[in-house]
Amino acid sequence: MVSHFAYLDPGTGSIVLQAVIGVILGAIVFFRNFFIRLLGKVRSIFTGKSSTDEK
Amino acid sequence: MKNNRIAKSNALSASFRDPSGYVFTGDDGLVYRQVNKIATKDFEAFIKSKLYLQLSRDKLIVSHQEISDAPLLGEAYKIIKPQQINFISYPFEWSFSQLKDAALLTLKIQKLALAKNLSLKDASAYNIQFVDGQPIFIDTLSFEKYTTNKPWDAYRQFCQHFLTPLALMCYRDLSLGQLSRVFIDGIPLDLAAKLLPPRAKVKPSIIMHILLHAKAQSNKASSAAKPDAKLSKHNQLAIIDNLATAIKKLKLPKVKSEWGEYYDNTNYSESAAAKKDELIIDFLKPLNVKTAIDLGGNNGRFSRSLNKRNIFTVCADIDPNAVEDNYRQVKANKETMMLPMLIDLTNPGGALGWANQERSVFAGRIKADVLLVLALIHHLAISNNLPFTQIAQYLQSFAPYLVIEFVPKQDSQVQKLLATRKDIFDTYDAANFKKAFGIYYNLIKEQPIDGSVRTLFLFERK
Repeated sequence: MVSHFAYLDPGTGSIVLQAVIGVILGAIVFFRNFFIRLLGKVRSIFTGKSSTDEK
Repeated sequence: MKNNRIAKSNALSASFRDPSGYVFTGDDGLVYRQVNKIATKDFEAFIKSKLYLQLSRDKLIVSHQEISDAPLLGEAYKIIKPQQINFISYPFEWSFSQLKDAALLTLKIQKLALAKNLSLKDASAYNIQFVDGQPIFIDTLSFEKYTTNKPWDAYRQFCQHFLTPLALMCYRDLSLGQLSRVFIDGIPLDLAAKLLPPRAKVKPSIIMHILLHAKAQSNKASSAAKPDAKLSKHNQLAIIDNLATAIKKLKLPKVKSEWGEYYDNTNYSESAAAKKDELIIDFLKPLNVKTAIDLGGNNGRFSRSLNKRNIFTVCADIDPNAVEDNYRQVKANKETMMLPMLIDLTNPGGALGWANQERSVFAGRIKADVLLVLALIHHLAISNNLPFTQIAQYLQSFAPYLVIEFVPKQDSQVQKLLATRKDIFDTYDAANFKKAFGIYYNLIKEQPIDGSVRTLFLFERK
């Protein structure tokens, strides 16, 4: 669907490039966030264990 | 508001590309913006989503008022009166960090817009102005409803207006920012790709947003129908974050410039500079000035004395490192009374675009109560061979009052200028100076500056 009010010519190549690099960068962001969350969960598991161990 | 005989001739001459509306000056001399009927949905979405509220509250966009009693002719849906901007500057008149901050603001706004299902239609550097020491977005009509999975139309324009000049200044040469005067829609990607050195071309973000981007511009798909390429919002945000990170990392190399250590190398001792300060303030006291222009103001040394007395100052200098230094101080100290500008007074920019009218000349845009011309006259008259009368004629267009420092031949700075050239300047002396300026000005005060051989003059335009 084309916006009639976007008066700028975006350039066909720029559109295609965005789709391509968007997938790559999007994947990097996705996996980075995934690992940050994972690391966070792992940390909290270990912190949880050690505090119950100590008592 | 009675001005609604809005002939298109009242429209600001750069405001014609977007059918959504245009900017014009009213009968009261103030700037207004007309929102056209076809832009109704997008404009109301911008308001109703509270994006406008959020951006204007954080001073990221100019605030505006809707003019409810304005008669609406033809295609008009609404007339709004935006926050007025007293000093308009163009991207090629900004230092490196000013352009960098303008770029980051644009990206920040696009991110905030996407969060509310809106998107910027364009990413021109001319959508930004500097107000109270900070960049602010001025194109209230630049927002449209976000279409799901549609790539960002303004991506290429962003890269050409912001990324290529910043990359070229950082990796190749600081003076390449001036290419923006020649390429009014930003420095082309392929040109940047050719000019960047090898060490820039290994950076992933440069590879993606400039090199591959440049290659993608070639004709292959251009004649085909519009591509159906999809870009999820998540992925678009990833691109925007990548652009922001890349731009944040661009830093100016530490360069020794001619004027960089100016104030260490001039023939002014600290006490003599302080005396000059006092004299300037003394001259200005009875005049009740609110705004000033400091030409050749370097990093703002004397402009700041004016700022302390609540005088807003446009501080223009030819040296990009000095202007950069000035802007860094503005940021570090959160100053609001200073606008640093990068101007070569012997070749200022402007008169650009269609019919040479889209972007206006420096002296036409920048006017103030007083003009300061300190330690500059010898560069104009001697280095640039300008006759005093021509200098006076140009300077009088800026302000009704002029504070100017005459630097005589026996001054060591002038001796430096004459060291390697033939002294053809028989008429370069205070008497001829006063005579020439007397054509355009009346002399109000004249006083030698203690600790130097220079004299400070106060003139009033005739």
